[in-house]
Amino acid sequence: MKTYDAMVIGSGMTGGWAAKELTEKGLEVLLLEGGRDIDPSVDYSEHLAPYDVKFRGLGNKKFMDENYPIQKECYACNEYTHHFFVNDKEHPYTTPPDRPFLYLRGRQVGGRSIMWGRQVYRWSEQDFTANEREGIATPWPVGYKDIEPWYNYVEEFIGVSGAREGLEQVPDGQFLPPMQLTAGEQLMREKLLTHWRGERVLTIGRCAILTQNHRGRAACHYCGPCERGCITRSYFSTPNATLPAAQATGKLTLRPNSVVRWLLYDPKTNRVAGAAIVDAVTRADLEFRAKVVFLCASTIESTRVLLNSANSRYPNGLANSSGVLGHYLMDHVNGAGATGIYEGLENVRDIGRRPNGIYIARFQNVRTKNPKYLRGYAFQGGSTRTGLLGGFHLASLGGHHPPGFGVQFKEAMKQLGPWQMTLGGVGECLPSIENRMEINKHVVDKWGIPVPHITASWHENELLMYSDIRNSAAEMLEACGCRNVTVWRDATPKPPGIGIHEMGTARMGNDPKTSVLNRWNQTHDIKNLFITDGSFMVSSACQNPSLTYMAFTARAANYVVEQMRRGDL
Amino acid sequence: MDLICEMIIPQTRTAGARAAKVSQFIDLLLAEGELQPRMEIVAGLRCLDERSRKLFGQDFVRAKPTQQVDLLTRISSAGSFEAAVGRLFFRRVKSLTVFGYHTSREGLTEELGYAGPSGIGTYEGSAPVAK
Repeated sequence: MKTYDAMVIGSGMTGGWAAKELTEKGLEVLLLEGGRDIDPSVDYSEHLAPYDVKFRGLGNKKFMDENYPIQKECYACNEYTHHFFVNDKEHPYTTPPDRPFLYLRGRQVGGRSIMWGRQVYRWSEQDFTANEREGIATPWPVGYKDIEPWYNYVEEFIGVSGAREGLEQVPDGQFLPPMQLTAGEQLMREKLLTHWRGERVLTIGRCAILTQNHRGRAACHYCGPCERGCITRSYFSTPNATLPAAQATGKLTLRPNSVVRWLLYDPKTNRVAGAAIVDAVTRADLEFRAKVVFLCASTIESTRVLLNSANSRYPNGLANSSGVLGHYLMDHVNGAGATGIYEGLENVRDIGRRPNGIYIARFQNVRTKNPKYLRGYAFQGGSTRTGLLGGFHLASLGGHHPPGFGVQFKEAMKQLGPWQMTLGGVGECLPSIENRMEINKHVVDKWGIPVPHITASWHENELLMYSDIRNSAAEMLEACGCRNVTVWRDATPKPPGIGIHEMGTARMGNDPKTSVLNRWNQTHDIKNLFITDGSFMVSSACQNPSLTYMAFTARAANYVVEQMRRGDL
Repeated sequence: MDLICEMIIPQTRTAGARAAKVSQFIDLLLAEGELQPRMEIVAGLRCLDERSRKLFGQDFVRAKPTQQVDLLTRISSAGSFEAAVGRLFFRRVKSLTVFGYHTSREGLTEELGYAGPSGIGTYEGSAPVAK
C-alpha cells in the first residue's frame, strides 16, 4: 500500500491550507474529506433570483423542519444553500437535556469555507497575553510576533479588503482597497469618534473578498449573497483558492466521501500510521497510510476522531495523556444588538449590493478596565436606506407595510424610507474546563461511528458581557442621533454554537500535562500528529477566528516540512 | 384570492399581482410550504363572503367593484366592525401578496428596477437620490 508523505483530514478552511502548503513544499498529500465533492457550476446558487427557486427563498418548511431543524438556525441555511449544510438526521450528536448546543456545519469538499462570513481580523498581542495576565486557563505558547509573518503570508494569498486604522487591538493587515462606507455609516463613524474621543472606531469590515483582481481570481462583481458560493472565485474558500493551488502541484490526491473512523496507531514507534475510513458511497472500510497526519476536520470532529481512536496506550483518547482533550470548548457570544432609525441624509441613498458590513473594534478592557467582566466584544452591522427600490432589500413575510391597498399603496411602497442603523456584538468567551465534549458510546451516526456528546453553557462573564452589549449598542445608536432605538429581542443568548466559532478542545501549551498541542500545533504525545483547526485555541478573543486558524496552519505546515528535511519527523 | 391580491397591488403602468401570478404562489405556499396560515385564510375568505352577502346580497367575487373596494376598505380600517373579525386575515393576505409580488420577475424587474441576480457589477457607496 502507498504511504503518502502527509495526510490531511478535512478540506475546509484549514484543511485546504494544509493541503496547499504541504504540496507546494513538495510533499505527496492525501486529502480526505468526509462529505461529497462539489461542482461549483451546479452547487453554487448566488445568481439565482427569488423567482428561480420554488418557494422564493422561504424554503419548504416541512422539509427544512424534518431534515435541518438545527442547521436552519444559521442565517445562511436556506432554500438556496441547505445542500451545503449537514442533514441533521444523518449527523446526530447529543447534549444534556437542559444544555442544548447548536452544532452548525457543512460536510463537503470545502466544508464551511463555502458558507462562511468572510470576516477576517488579526489578533493582537493583548489577545495572546490575556490568559497569562489574568490567570485564566493556561498561557498561549505563541505571541503576536510569532504569528505576524504568517498573517502577512495568508492575507497576501487570500486577498483581504479593508482600511488601515492603526488600532492596537486589531492590527492592520495587507489590505486590498476597502469597500465604501454608506453615507449612514460615514456619519456613524464621525459621531462615534467625536463622542468617545477616538476610543470607539467604526471601520469597513475587513473581509476576504477581492476588490481588485488578485492572483488569478476576479474582483467581486457585487451580486450580494456570498453564502451561496461564488463562481468568479472572488471570495476566499477552499474550492475557490487553496484547492486549485494544491491541485496545480500535481501532488495532491483528493478523496471525498471518506469518513474517518479512527487513526491508525503504531505502538512500536508511538506514531500515527494513517486512518481507517468508511467510504460514504460504497460503505467499504478502507485504510490509508501517511508519514504525517494533519487533523483539520473542525474542532468537534477532530476531537471526536481522537477520542474514537483510544487504545491501550492512550485509553482516554489518542494524544490525550493530559486528559485535557475535549475540554475548554469555546464559541463567540452573539445575538445581542440594537437597531435604530436615523432621520436625515434624505438626499442620498446607497446603491448596489455590498457583501460586507462595518466593524467597531473592541473598546472594553483595551485602555480602561471594565469593572464587571473580562475581555470584550466587537460590533458588526451597518447602515442602509430602508425601502424596496433596487429590489435587493426584499420584503420579508411579516414586514411592515404602508396602510391600505390599491394604486396609492403600490406607489407608497416604492418610496425610500429613512436610514436604518444596526449594531450586533460578537463577544469573547472564556475557556472553562466544564465546557466539553465526550463520546456518546450509545449513539452512532449513519456510518456506525459513535457521536459527540457536548456539554456547554455560557458562564457569568459571557452573560454579563451579553447584557452590556445590548446596552452599549443602544447607547451608541442614540449617540449617532437615532430615534426608535430597539434592543434586539433575546435578553439572554441562544445556546453556545450559535456563533459557529466552536474552538479549543485540543489546546496548545508549553506544559504537556495541561495541553494537547505544543507551540507548533504538534501533539505533545505523538510527534507526527498535528491539529490545526480551531481545536488548538487557548482563548477565543472576539475576532472572527478563520484568519488565525489559517495562519497557524501555514506555520505548522512549514514547521513539518523543515522537520522532515532535517530527518526529525 | 386572485381578486384580493390584484386589489392590493393592481395593474398600473407596471404589472399587478394577477400578471405576476401572485395568487398561484400563495396557493403553493399554503399547499406545500408554510402550513400554519392555511386555516386562517380559509376562514377569512368564508367570513368575507358572509359579510358580502349580508351587505350586498352577493358573494365577494360577484359584488360590484365599488362594493368590493368598500368591503376591503372596512376590513383594513382600524375600528370598523369588519376589521374586528378580518384584520388579521387581511394583514396576512397583504403580507403574502407583497412578498409574492416583490419576489416575482414582474414585481422585481418592472416595479423595483431590480438589476437581476448578478447585480450592477460595482459598489460605490452612496449617491444622491435621483429626482
